[in-house]
Amino acid sequence: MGDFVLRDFKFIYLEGELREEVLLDLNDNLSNKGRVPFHSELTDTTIPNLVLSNMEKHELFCKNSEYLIPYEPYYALMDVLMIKEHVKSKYPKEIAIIGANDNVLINHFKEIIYDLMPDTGIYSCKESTETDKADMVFINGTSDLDKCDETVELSLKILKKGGLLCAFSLGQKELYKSLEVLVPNGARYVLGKEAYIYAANI
Amino acid sequence: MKRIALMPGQERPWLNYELSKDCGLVPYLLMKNHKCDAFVVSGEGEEYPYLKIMDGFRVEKIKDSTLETKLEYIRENARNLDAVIFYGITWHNIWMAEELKSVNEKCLLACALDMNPDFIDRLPFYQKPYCDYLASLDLMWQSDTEMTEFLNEKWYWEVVCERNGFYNLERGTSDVEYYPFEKRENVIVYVGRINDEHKHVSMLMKAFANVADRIPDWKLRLVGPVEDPFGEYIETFFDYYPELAERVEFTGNITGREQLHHEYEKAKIFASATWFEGGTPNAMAEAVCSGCVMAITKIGAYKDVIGDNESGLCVDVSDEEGFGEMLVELIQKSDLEKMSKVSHERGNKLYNMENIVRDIYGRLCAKGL
Repeated sequence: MGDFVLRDFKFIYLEGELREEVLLDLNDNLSNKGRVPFHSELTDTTIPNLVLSNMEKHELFCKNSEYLIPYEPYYALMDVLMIKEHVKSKYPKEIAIIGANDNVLINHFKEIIYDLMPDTGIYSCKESTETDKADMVFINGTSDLDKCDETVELSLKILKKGGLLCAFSLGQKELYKSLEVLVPNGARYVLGKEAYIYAANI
Repeated sequence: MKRIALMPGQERPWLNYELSKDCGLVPYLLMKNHKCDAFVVSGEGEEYPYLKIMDGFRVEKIKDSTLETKLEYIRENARNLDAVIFYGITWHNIWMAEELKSVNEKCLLACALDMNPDFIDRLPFYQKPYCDYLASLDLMWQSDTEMTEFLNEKWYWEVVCERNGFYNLERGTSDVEYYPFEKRENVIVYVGRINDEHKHVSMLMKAFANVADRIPDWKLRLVGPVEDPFGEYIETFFDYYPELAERVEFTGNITGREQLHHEYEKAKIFASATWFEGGTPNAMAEAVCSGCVMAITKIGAYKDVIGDNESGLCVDVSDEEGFGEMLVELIQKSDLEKMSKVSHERGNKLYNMENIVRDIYGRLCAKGL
């Protein structure tokens, strides 16, 4: 099981001594082509503040649910992956959400997106004939997904080349198998029992 | 005749030495070469001896450097101005731009940005009042290609590249004759303010000390004013390295432009370990034009200065060991004469201030000057 930390101004995923992956380096100013600063004394709206405040909002959302609270770090990690992808350019992005209970992720990301770029579109996508449209696809695997292969294939179909595919799963073993086969270059992030994030740039 | 003012962005007057930098040279050369009535506006401060060699150029004085006085000047004079040039994104510049547009919307506004990666990130450019200021500018330029490209990828407004060039005020030309390599000394020269907060001179000195025994025929010469409390560091340095007392020299501040220029000419290598710079520092532009081989840290303008390592080398900021090895590589393994000549050619091509100001004038005309 791993940890997700902000250290030396870097968001890092750690698995003991085996793995240390810098997810977003806030010292690398030239990687930020978005409008929100990595750090600034001229505004309170900075990237680390967006992530931390979204964690607080998520905590309020979860506060009565023992079931949801352990997964807060996962949402923060997804925020960081989404932000890292978003700041690669100054342009609005298209973000598609596929899978169970789409509004949870949409509502979660909306607060950050408003500051990153209000014109960024975020929508749920059950099926789509449009290909290569989305800059990011998030698969919400927080409850049973019926057809994991089809879900992953749909994600790949609508995702632009080089775009971010990110799956958040709670105990979805079938989903993981589909991802391993169809998206073999992905990285897995495990912050708690039976849950993981799987992410790759295609 | 087009009337162009360069306004002071800080709450202080312009200083004499700044007249010899791009903030003075741009309006001066607009006046000298392009028949503009271009001048600098400044609050009361020191004398300007450089005006004696800037024939016809003037500093238009206002009573002080407060924002209120500058806004008053704008209200009284803006209708007679065709263009105003700002340096940087400062609170004074932001409010002056707003006042200018309300008094004379036809007045062109231009800004030399002078940005570095750290300030670019910190600036919430999409928020008021910064976005209003940037949107009001008719022309913006950054003085190195890498930051220009980055700003165009990040911002909503067009930024062009106009470098900080070199112009010899006393000789009245940007042309620099190549000083023969065989006449140069085995000197690594640094020119600039001598401090650590910005210029990181201690790293330059330590890097030299670390490799001094491998380059025994070479000296490090530091030209410029020593700023407090760096004097204490110098004493400690020589306590630790007494053997370098004859090989690490401090000349003090040199104000004579010819004498200063000769320091560049005498040296084979120009070295700078600065933490950061906004665009190309004037000292580096002059060093390149003078044919110095460049040994620098990876500031935003490094690619413009050294090209593909044909006129010098660079290391990461704060890489002290790497800096020393870079000096050894240049001295022991490189064709310094060839690199020196390439540096000189590069300087003439990229850092000729008269060409740069001609380009700025052309852009202002294209915007309606």
